Amino acid sequence: MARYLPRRLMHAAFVLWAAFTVSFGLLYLLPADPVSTMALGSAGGGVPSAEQIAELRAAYGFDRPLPEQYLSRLTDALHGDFGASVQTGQSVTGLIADALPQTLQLAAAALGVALLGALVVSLATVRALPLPSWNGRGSASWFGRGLRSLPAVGVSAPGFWVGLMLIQFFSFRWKLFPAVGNDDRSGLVLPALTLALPTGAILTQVLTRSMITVLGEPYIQTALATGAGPIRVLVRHVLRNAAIPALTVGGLLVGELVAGAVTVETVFSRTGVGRATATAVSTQDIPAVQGLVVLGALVFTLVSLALDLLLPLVDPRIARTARIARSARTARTARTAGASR
Amino acid sequence: MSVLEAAPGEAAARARRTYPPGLVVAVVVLALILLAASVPGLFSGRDPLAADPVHRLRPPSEAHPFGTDELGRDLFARVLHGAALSLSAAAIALVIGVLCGVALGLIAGTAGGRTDEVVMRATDVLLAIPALLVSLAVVTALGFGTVRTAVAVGVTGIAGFARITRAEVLRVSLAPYTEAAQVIGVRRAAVLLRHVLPNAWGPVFGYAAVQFGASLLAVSTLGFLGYGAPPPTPEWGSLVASGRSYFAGAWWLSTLPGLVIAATVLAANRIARAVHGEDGVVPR
Amino acid sequence: MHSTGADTWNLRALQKAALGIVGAALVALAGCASDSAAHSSDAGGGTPRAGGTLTFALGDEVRCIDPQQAGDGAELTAARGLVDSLTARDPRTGRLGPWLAASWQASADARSFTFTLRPGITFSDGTALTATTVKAAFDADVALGARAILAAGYLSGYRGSTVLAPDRVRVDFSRPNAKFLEATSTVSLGIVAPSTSARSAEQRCAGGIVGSGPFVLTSFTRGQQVTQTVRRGYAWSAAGSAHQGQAHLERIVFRIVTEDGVRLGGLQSRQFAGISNLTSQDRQALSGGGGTVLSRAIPGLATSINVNTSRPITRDRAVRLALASAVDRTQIIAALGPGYSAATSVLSSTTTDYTDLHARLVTDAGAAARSLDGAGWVRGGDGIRVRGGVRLQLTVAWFGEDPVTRSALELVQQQLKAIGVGLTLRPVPTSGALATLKGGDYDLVVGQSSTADPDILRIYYTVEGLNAVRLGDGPLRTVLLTQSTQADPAKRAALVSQAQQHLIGDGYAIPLFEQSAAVALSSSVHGVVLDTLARPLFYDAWLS
Repeated sequence: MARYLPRRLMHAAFVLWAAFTVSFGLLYLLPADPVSTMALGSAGGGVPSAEQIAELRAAYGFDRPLPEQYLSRLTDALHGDFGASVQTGQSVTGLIADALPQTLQLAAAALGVALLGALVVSLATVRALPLPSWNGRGSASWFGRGLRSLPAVGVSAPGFWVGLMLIQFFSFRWKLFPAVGNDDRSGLVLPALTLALPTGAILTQVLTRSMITVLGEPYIQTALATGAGPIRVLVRHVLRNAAIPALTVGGLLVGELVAGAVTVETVFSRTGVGRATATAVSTQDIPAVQGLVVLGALVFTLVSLALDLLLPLVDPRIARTARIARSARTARTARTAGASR
Repeated sequence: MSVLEAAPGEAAARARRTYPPGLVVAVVVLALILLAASVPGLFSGRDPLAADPVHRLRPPSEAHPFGTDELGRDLFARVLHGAALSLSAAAIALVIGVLCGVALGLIAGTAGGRTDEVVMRATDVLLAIPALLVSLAVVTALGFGTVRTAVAVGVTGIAGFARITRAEVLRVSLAPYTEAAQVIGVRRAAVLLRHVLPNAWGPVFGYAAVQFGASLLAVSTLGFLGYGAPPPTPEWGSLVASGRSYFAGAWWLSTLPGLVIAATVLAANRIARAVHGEDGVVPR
Repeated sequence: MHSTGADTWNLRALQKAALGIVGAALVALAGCASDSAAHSSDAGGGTPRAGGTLTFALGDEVRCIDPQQAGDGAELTAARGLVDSLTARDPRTGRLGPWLAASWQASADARSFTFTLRPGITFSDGTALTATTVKAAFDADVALGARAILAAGYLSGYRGSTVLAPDRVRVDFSRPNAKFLEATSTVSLGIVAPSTSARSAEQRCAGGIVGSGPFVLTSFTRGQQVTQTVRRGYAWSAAGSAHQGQAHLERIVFRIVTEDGVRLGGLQSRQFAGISNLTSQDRQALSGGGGTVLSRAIPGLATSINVNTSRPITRDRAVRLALASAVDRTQIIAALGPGYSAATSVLSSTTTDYTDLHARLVTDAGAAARSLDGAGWVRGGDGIRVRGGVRLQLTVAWFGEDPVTRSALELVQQQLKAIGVGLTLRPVPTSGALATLKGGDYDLVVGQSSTADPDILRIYYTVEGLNAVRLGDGPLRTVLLTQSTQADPAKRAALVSQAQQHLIGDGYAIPLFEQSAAVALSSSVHGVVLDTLARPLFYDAWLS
């Protein structure tokens, strides 16, 4: 562990740097020019002259050669300065500071709802299925089958559709929640529900499948045979083992929730990292995109690290790296040793 | 390999060759959709491109089972004619994500050590870059059109599949049969193909089945931004996306194509489960 | 569940229509015609009451609250109440009247403008409005450069301002600036306090705006909300206002709601008292009652298809005129719904110096087809004409993913297909707009703009500007350059008229439609007026 952590931190730094560099490259590959995007006034009546554009480019440093731009951005970034957004002039760190709290609130709420929902639905599904572990129940009830199909529905429902439907009913008709979800707690409910649906659906799907797989393992039969009730078995044995792929997927989804919730943010008129990123990318606001990308990389790295530390806790048998490789080497060594005798 | 058998009722049912009703429905639905994709004219004689603004935004009726869109075009015909394009786009996106992602995950999970860390960091980087940016870059490099947009969406999905596969491989690598194979001296590649892959496949499959719908919608988002097939080509995702601004007054524009997407995903999902042998039976 | 929902909605719509016939008639009389002047909501109420908070939902992003740097309609609306301008356009009559300037004089060659300021005006931080502060404001505008693109356009050729007396300032230009007086009434040339003029562009955007307007900025959360409170002691209202003295409203809260489907529902469920950016579906839903709709035609360029005359196929005048004849504007308007009307010139009907050219814009698909036949374009197997191995296939580019434009172009595509011309639609994201325009990378491009002054024609169609039709030197260019320096309004009008006829007569531009902007207000809101650019003014507004 003492050797593991510093190595992982080094890797994390590498990921941040790589994300920064790759996004820089991608942005410069795209044909349009961030300054011209900014300079073209939408309300008409203005076309920037060549001098004005040149002046703006100089102000943002876009007239310097690419390697120089890259290096200066990198050194600034290492000091925590990601420059200023081309669109508004606001500092990128300020932009992130504006968007992050709202995003984290929503992500946390959505994740909580999704996890809860996934647990409930997957447990119910598995309990309703005719697995031999439940002492032969006969053929599956339609209820169990129906529950199995729920995740597919959850993920194919477009985010804006769910959001707008929720707004139509819960906000406009029944006036229970506000349609613009920026203020207090009540404004968080509808967006969180909308975001939780696809997230929960995926979690349910993965959790259900893994639980079914685990239920086929011999030690489950043993546990049931020794008289443990189904619920106890489910919770103590099945869930713990089935949690691993679910946690992995959950880790992926956290990143999505933080950086990719642009549709929900737009429908509910919330500021957020997803929306800021989409705007920055479509206007090729290079400093903003890079700052947001590094933020995304940070989130993924933290989640990845947390998962890699958490998984062995859930299942102590899991090593942090594959055992196949090690056992293969051991086997080969043994054979070689045996052969040489 | 599995110690368990099917429940007596199920075995008997299969012996009698009756299939669960849900599966039958799913097969029928998918068959209909595939038929519509190949011969759209079979289901509706109307022209999906014929605009008739006088009859715009009409709700579903006998003449127009799905209603008309903002230009008066028959929505049902547009859904039918958009089936082939949409299905192929989602399939391409999924195939790319699954093939590359699973391969990466297998390599990382089984090789371990340095390789594992490199692959995992690479997926971290890919996940950190906004999907929109990656898609834009891919489309810029490859050109416009629905197929290329599908490739872009597929690329953004690789990291997810890689992660899940790797986690499953790690889990499976601890199973007794894998260790047994190792000790006996089975070569690594054989272990991979014959023991690890079939067992790690489960959750990946589940994720893939569910990602089909998500890929379709992701393709449509890019299409709506102008990177997909040029108008007036109908495509399920774009139909759903363009109905967004008319949602309050003309709910059918987004809802009905959306239902078709959901039905397709559901049917595919159900069939995949049956193929995987999950009707009450634990997979081997 | 869905069918129940639909039935209920349709039933509700029917009920509304049945009950709201009188309301519909009133609204139809009041605001739905495209060339109507602005109408204030006079319905009921009577005497204005002071106090109250108006929550207004804007449909576009507000990223910058600086009136000079504001580019978007929503930003300009939000910033209008914070600053005053030297002159004001009366929304009802359209005439230029005094505001911060009590009187003014323009030199004969339109290069010098002298303003005499009204006495006793102060900014909300207490500093007085003097000629020096006006000079500082204009100097700062110019210093903002391309960041303040609208102001820069109005001030092009700015040589400097001279303080003649504490209340008199002269603005000088190096070349004649015919539209400057008109421009002084816009929010883009609103006068800010010296403390603001001294701030950096970013600070101004973030909320460092001090003006003399009827409202004061209390808070600005980017992309979310703008809060303004009443300026106490305000006593210098614009010409054409309904009252003098401070504004009736205690506070205005602008909320940014970009999702189209949510604004109307928010109004109907009383979460907002007013909304902007009405879509045609919104108008339809409100036509049976449920709110007051104010609508006004937007001046500027009508949405038109501009033809790249440097491309081989479209270099041919006969082809261009055939394209123009094949376009059926009536069908397009039928598809777009309320709020849109057929364009009758390159300029929209409420622009200064607009000329009605509908007689030159007759749809005749038969004649178009015959003309192409005569030019040797023969229909191929797929219906698209071919001549000498070249297909008559054109690409049209448009910007900003605007669904209204897309609908119109899909119809044009169908109409052109009927005469054997293939049209490929190419949506271009906003980030690529300037590059596409400057590079001339299109056969056809859609153009539109909202501005009160016809100088936009010069900006769009000359080489120094966007050069939309890729014309070099020629009579059109001369006319466009001359009109921008022509101080005599009558002579200018003649030149502008000539330009419009030229653009249409030679098929350089194919006008499609013009649109009205609308706001909807709940029944408790009175006194809101749309200015000449179809944006809401809240100075006279009050809540009952």
